[in-house]
Amino acid sequence: MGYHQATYDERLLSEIGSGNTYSVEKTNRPEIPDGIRRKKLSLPDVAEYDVIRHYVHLSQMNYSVDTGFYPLGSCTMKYNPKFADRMAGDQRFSRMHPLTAPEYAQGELQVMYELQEFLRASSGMDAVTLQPLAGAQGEYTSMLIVRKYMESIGESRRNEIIIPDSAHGTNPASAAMAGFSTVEIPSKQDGKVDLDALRDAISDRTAAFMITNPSTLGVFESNILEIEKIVHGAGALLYYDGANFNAILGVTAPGLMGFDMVHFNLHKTFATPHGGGGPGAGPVAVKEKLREFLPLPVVVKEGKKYSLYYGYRNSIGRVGGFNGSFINLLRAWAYMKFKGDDGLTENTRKAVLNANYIGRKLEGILDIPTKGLKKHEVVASTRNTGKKALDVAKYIINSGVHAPTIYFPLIVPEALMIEPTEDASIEDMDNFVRLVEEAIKIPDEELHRMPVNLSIGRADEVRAARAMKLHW
Amino acid sequence: MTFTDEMFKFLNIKGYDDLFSDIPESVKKPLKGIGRGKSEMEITLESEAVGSLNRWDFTILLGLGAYERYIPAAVNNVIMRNEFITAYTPYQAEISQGMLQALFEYQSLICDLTGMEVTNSSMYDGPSSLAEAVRMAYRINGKRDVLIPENIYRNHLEVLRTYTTGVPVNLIFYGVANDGTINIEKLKEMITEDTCAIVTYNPSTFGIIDHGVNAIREIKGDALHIAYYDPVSLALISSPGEYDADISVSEGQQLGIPLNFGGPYLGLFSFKEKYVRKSPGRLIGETVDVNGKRAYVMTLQTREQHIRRDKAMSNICTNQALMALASSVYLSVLGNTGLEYVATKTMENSRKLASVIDSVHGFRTRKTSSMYFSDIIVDVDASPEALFSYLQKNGILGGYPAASALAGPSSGIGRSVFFAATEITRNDTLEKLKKVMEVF
Repeated sequence: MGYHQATYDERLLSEIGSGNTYSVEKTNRPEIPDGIRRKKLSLPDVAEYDVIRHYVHLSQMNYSVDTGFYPLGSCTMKYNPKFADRMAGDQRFSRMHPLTAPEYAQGELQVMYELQEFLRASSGMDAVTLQPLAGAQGEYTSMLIVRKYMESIGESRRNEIIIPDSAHGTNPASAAMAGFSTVEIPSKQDGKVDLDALRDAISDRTAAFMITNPSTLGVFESNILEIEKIVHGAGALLYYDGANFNAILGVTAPGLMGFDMVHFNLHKTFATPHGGGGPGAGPVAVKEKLREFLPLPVVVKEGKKYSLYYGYRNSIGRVGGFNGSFINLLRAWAYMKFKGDDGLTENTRKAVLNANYIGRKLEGILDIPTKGLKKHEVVASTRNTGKKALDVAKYIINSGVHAPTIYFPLIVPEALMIEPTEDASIEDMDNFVRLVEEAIKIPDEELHRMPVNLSIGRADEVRAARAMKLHW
Repeated sequence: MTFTDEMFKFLNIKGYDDLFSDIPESVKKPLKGIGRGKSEMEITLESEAVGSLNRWDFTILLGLGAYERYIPAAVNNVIMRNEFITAYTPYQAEISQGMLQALFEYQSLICDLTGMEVTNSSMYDGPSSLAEAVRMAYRINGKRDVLIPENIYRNHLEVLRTYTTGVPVNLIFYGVANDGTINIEKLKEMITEDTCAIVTYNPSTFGIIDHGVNAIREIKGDALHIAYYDPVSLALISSPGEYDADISVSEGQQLGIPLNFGGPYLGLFSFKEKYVRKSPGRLIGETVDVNGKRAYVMTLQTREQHIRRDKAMSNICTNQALMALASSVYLSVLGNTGLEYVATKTMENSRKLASVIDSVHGFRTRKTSSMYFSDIIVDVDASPEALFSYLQKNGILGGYPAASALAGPSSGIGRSVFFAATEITRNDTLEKLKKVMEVF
């Protein structure tokens, strides 16, 4: 019964050695002088049919959204529509060189322009850059904008960014990369910002406050307007981490809450596939006063013609080589048009309904540190059960469901961060809750042996770090 | 009763609105601006119409960091496997061994290709990899001056400037020879005890194979050598490992990724093992499971943002895993023979392209004692912008103005343009180019 992942003793490509079968026409090697000639190239030589079998085997040892329920908190693992895959492979889009003159790339620019407009509308902001290549790069872009804006108004002494202790790790890392010091403030028990702590921390050295709303505990920051007053009152900017945008899209918007800037994760809210770790795309939207700091170029429309605009004098510069992660932009554009205003709003409602459903179901089984309404995800703790979050996670994956995010946010002990998304069915969620119930009843000794139904048992991470074997 | 009603009942609420009562009414607003939803058929037909507005049928004779190469069908076949494309980062190792092993193999393949000791499991693209390499060099030796060639790509320079905002390093140009290659004597004079890193390009940004990279190890002193290479060229020309580079970076788009109007691409990032703890990005390591079976995990995560937060080596989280997979399939299907063929044919075609260009009055490829690999710089009598525009009117993408592509060497690129050949460049394409150029 239950789930059994395919299991192969799959060799490394370098161990297959079936010989090269790639057919090429005959060529004469060029006479490259000794000093600069490659001495020996030693890639594995593997027959193509072995390469394919190899990767088919590997794929069967990899869990995905298309395999089953994937409630990985903060990652918004929704279904990725297949029509977007076909579009991504359409040569009309993919055979375009990034240096093609704009007049011959009108289709690409139309997609980009319309996506800028869609993101502007859905965030309540005024201007958008599509250039950042992932959410974290969007954060970094935003922090550079903060820095340059403060310089431009003669406030460069503002070198601190305030960040709640519940924030994603990328927030402090991005702020530090942009040359800021970070000031961490504690969150309250319910995961909300401690307003007194914010008031204490904020000063004339504060450049911005970075906040995720709903927070990483899945709770809407109902004091957001008060926070906005405190932050703007102190002369700082308010930054919205868009990782949790799937919780509010169509209901409210960062612009309406008084935020100055926001980054989006297109692979979360707008269903571009995550590819086992990327590629992502991390556009940034800002209020009017920050427009001229955006990376260049941006796409503009005059009459019916689209072109690239390079004119902002205060631009922070480029963050990527060309026009952003274009194919991901195309996928997001198609997804937004497919869903429309109503469909995107319906996503949010359904995602929030599902998170509340799963949260309520887990009450009495696990400790739920936040009371009341959840937004798109729910954070639970296994501490009340005496079990470790890690062990519960291993039981869940052993049963053919992806585990929630564990040990995050850091402020909740033994945390399980569960995000069902709008696509989860009641059956998916009931099954998940049943697995949690089962896990906490199993003796530790048995739980520690999990997983047994997957391609490997528990992996020795300590050994990996010590041995540091990073290539074959 | 629908499932939704069932859930409302279970939660003891009347409807969706009750789920959002925690949001102040004053900030609520229905979404407008995207339009009504569409069917799959409608959106597919619409995308085809929009795509048709592009001139996607151009003859492409342009590179500058983005090359049209032949991609074996196996690449797309593998990366479109649902289990790869719809997975997240492999946080739960035991259920994600497939992607973890594939990324371990990617790291290994790029080490084999570059001759470097360690490769991370991918960065966003070439330019941001270069920028992260400079930041890494500064973390390693804390020195002030980063030497970059004066003919550095403009977009590389712009990303470097962005990424060094708030880092106390100076970007200092070093002069290059008339063919864009390193002038070792001049470079040597610029190296001081404050030199943090020396950035080199091979082939040079003019497209020319540069022997000068071999001499860096003798002159660099305590500075780090950051080598930007062309991954396909490494089948024929010395690898960064062979000339003892400390960090090597590149754009991996050529390894099985379409032009994609600039992205997603793939940042290749390798370095000497002794620097691993200062390196950005994810690393996959080999280990064993409880039963002693070989296994793969994300490792040395204490360098990363989710553990180290503001002290992390980089903020990178999502990287380019699927693109790394594409490049692995590309390299493993081609193997040594295939990659050597691609590189050889590329050089053969760029030689043909150069001779076609030189045969037309008013166009001269830049003279060199070395050889062109793929990109070719051409001095022209006419206006570069007019040429670039004229060629596109005639269905050819090539002749990109060098002054737009490069930061600008003292040797003069004001009247120069770029072309490029790859293994797919055909003889009839070159004939067409010649005819079109002759009547310019």
